[in-house]
Amino acid sequence: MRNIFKYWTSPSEALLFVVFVLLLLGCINIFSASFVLAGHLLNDSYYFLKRHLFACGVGIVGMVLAAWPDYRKIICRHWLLFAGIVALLMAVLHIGIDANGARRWIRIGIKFQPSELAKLVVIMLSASYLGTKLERHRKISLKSWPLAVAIVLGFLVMRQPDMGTAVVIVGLCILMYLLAGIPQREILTMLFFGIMTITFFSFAAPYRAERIHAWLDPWAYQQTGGYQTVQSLLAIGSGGLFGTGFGMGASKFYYLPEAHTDFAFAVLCQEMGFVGALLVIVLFCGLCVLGIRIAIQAPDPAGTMLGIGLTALIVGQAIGNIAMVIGVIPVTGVPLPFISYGGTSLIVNLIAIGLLVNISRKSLSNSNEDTVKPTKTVRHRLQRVK
Amino acid sequence: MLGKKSRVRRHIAWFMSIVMFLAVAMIGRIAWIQFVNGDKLLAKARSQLGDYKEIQTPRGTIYDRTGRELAVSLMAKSLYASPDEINQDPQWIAKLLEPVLKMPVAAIKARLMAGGSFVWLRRTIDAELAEKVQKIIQENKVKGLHFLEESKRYYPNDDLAAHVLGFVGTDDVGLNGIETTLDRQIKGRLDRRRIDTDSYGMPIFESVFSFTQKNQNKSVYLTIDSTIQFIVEESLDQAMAATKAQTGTIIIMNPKTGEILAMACRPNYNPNEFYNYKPQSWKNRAVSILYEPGSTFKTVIAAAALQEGVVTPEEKFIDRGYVEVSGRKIQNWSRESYGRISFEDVIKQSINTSFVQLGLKLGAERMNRYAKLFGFGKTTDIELPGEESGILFDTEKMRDSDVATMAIGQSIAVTPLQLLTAVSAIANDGVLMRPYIIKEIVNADGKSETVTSPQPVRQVVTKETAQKLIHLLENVITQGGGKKAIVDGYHFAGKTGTAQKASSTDAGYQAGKYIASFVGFGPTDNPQLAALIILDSPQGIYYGGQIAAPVFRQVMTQVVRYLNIPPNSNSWNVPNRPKPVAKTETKKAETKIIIKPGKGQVVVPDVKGLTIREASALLTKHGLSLIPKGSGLAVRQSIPVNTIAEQGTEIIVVFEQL
Repeated sequence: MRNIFKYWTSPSEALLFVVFVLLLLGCINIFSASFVLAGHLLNDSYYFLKRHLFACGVGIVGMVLAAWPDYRKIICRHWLLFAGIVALLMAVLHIGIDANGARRWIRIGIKFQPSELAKLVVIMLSASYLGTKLERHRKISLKSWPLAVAIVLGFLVMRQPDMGTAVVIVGLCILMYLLAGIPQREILTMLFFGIMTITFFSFAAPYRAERIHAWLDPWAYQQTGGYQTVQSLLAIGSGGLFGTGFGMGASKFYYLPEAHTDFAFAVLCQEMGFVGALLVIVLFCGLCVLGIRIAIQAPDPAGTMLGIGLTALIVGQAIGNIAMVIGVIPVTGVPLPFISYGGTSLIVNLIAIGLLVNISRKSLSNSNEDTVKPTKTVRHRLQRVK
Repeated sequence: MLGKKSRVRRHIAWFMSIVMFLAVAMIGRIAWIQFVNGDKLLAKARSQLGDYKEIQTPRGTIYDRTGRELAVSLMAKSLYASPDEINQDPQWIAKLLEPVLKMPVAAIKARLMAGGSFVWLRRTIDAELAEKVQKIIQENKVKGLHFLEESKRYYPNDDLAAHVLGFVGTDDVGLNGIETTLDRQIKGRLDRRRIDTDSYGMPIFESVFSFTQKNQNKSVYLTIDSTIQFIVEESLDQAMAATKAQTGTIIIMNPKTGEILAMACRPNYNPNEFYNYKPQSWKNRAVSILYEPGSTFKTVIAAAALQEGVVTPEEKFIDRGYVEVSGRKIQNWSRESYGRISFEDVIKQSINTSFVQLGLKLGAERMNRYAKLFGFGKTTDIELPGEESGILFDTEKMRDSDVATMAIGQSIAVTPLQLLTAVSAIANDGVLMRPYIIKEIVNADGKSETVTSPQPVRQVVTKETAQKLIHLLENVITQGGGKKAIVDGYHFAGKTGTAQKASSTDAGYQAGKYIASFVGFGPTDNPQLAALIILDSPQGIYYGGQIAAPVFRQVMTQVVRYLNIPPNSNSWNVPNRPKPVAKTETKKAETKIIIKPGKGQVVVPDVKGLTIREASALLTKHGLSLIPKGSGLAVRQSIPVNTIAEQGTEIIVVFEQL
């Protein structure tokens, strides 16, 4: 890994490079996976690509804006963030736009999904709270307000209903508590309640039970609950080493549902083959390593928690999505960052990257007085300046 | 900053390890899916993608000789349902389809619920409707509705050459005309082909293109020229309207090759909707009806007699107006007596009595032999279905009265095509050609498979005989009963015919029913066109020379112009031809026939050898006017000597310096 860093001066530059490559792959894949649907439905094969590119543009602006001011001044505005996101989520429940039996979007100028923003808010609030505790070497307990906030937001998102996002919101929060360190007793209690909840939910709604059956043996349910998983496996399996080639995968021809959104990775595996899949996973690993590096080099614990939370946001969703696509976990509506079509998700992910760059910039600006050593290249350049 | 050994850093290390482990596990899983299960999954994906479809390749196109489309096949979509696959409420689907298919909901529903895997909903629907149905299928995610491509025949010119082309029934079966003859060759094939489709059964990838006509069938080029055909159809329509004939037929042939250039019949039909017409109107009368040819058959008798040396053009006949053979009295059409008359004039005036004498001179054997040599009594083998062979006498059983009637073209039965073919042989220096209508069959790759070349059948009469007869037949048009067939600027030869119509029920003739016809060819120095016009059972005037000859003139005038045939240099350009008179007779100087001009009519005097001034004076004296051409002494005049003409008729006289 370290060799790669020779080509850029800081982890944030490397991060931007990784994100750029992922965005590029995403654009290619979204077009290939959506042109059939777009052509038939809207008579414009480029419809989804155009919208994706627009979201890219907005996201990059958001990224730059997020990288600019001191992140510490953003994340400490607890009430503003909390009130803002609650207002948006309430608004969705009342004046949101219905689609596919759910109400997830709201139109304020542009159409977007506030639940995606909720992820970001929870990370910021948790990082702010946990960072302060860590700085003061206080004991951390789950019985604190950020988790309560996450649960409240998760509940609001569940009402839409959007189970996947709700789990991500609460899950991210808990993950950050775990990384910050909580008593073992609480971990065990949480595990117990977690298993209870999962079991309860699995059997509470019959469609979830069926989903789990279909997950365990998709081939037995290939015309019903296992259809998506089976189609996804067929798409991946027919890819081979180098794939069928751009545009030549057949799964998007109404065989694989959600080919350009949740199952975009299956289309990528089909058309770019094992090589493409490997590249995507390696890029996410790189993103993870760089994110963690930035987190560790953060000037304060809040920065570290924010960095690790944002990294977990992207990497966690990636793992969740890919695991779903390859049939390891049940089908949930978690998108693959930068690869799946979805405007708000893309913008939020780019803002997350912007915040990571923000943290990285603070650590660099502190590098002279702090213990952080400049990287080899920077050192080299400094020498040349002298 | 966090301390290097802080708990958080340790946790983060754990986190990263777990992420890396999961990444490796996922890569492993993908590799497993792609490399271990890959072949199995690929096969499964292929099988759900693939669909065996029966694809109808379109029927071959029929072109005219110039490459214009006469019959084309378009692929039309036919909607069918696989009731077993239907995934939604049939009532609902039926309601959705009702406005598009314009079929009752109950009918659609019944078919959707029929069970099984195949039931037609609607066959060969427009592309526009098909698209609407497709949209319904997609928007409502309906499964179990599919399209099949079927070939639909389309005749772009509607009823043009309908009898030649024929038509195609359901399931691509040729039912008439060329469509029947070449059914095997041009029929679209049913290919069972594997195609890739999307989840709704629409073809994707290359399969989209497999519906295009890339392995189209053989196409056919006919000898028909659609412009000539159009001229013929127009003229025939006019003639039918003017004469109120029951049926009509026109054929145009190239006498040198036997190529049919046009062939039209009435009653007509539109092959695009043949089912709306009576089956009787589908009949190609040019080849599949038999009629008694009447005087047009005299061409054959004359050819035989000249060839056998039984007669010379100058030979004199005595006509008493009737002749009795074996107790049967045969009269001239005009019921007039012509007295002593040369064979040349016998043909010009189509004198029955003289032909009876000639027939008796020839005898049954020779007459029948020549009839057969000219192709009568046998099909011509043209590539059209339903051709009749005609009826001739059995030589041994022929009585004199049979010989007599056959000599004037009665009591034998021929097809229009046989007659035209026989007359064409005279035009073609005595060589009988096999008539044909299929010029070329071209393979799908554009290479021609078979090219029909002109096929001489036999030399029926010698070139000299043919030339002699051509000259005699030319006179029929310029001086005899076929004047109305004159094609301005061209020398044509021809023969009129007015035959009694044989009864279809008994051996006799239908009272008051005649078949008027005219057969001719030209230009006589290099015959390129031969045509036969038949008008069956006209109302009012029924003489071939009166009603069929003008049609010949009308058709040929347009065709020679279309074909750019150069006019004959020494032709008579007659702007004001003498109006036809009931009786046009010629009188040679030595004959003692008394000419009785009617009121307002004059006998045309001979101006040969006179100067312009003298000729003008002479004609004025007779009440005629002169249009001089050239200078010197008169050598030719547009209306022959001793012809009866209306007073005031203009006569063109050619003067030459001698």
